[in-house]
Amino acid sequence: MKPPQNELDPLGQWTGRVLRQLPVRPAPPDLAHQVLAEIRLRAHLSWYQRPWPQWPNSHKWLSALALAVVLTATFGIGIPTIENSASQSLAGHYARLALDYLDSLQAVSTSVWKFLRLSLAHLSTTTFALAASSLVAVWLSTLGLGALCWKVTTQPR
Amino acid sequence: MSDPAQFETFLVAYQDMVYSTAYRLLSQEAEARDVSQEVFLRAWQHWHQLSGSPTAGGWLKTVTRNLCINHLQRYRARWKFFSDLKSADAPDDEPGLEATFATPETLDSDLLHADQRGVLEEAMTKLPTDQRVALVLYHFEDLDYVDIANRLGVSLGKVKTDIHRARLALYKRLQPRRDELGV
Repeated sequence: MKPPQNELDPLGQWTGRVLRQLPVRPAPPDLAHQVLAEIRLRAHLSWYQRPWPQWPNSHKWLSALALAVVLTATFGIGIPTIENSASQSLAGHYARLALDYLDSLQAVSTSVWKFLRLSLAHLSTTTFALAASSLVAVWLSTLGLGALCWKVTTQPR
Repeated sequence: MSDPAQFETFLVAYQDMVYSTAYRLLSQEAEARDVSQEVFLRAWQHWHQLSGSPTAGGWLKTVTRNLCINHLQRYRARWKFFSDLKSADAPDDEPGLEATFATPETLDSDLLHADQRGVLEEAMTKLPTDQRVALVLYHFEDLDYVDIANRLGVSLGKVKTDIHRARLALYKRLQPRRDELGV
């Protein structure tokens, strides 16, 4: 709870009294209509069109089970099988390509990470400061300009 | 009375309170309307708990306040940096105002009897977001400084400064219109 107002703070007391006299602002006349229309609309949505927390409990359990099965099949059975398979079928070929692509991605990200780690370890303070300043300058010139325009045009002064 | 009919009665009874709370915090009609709609949609989802509950009004107010704060933090956090820059340029205190502040009794008599509501609402709207939100949470939502700081994720000192600056700014804006307002 709010502590008692400071009796010696006339500005605070005045603000409190003035603001508390401000009457309730009437809601837009069509607010209730909009809310009721939205409720009616949502009531007619199928279970799969609603957010997951609003699904029926049985559907939630089944979907969680299905997800577990898919994940297990993919990572526990599917990938090892493809990797060990000597199959020369077209499907096997494309699966192999996809796995190679994932391996390449992993290799690239590992290399980039190593490069960054080594660079940061050997960077002088001046170079680091210059790089950071460049990033800040780029950020300011893009986001900053937009933000300033937004503030100038929309924010109260 | 069926559930939808009961809910409609409930909605009509509380819509002004919810919209007012949202508008005071957001100061934008469209955003206040969106938040109000979301509040009542959530109320419908919890209607089995709220129906007939004596604390339904408090629940609505709390949800409205939280949604507004979330909205402000989500969509306006990116502008905070620039707000802080602007605030840093402003003078820390305005001794002239405090020095000339009159006794409260001479200021607020019948302040809001005519079109003065619009004047005060306009003055509130023109406050910077940080200051307005802190002021509204303190004076309308009855939160103390610590609660406000926790909910907004800012320091206690900033809350106190924002509220003080907001009061001064309100006074400064209303003071020149004292005769017009009859205060």
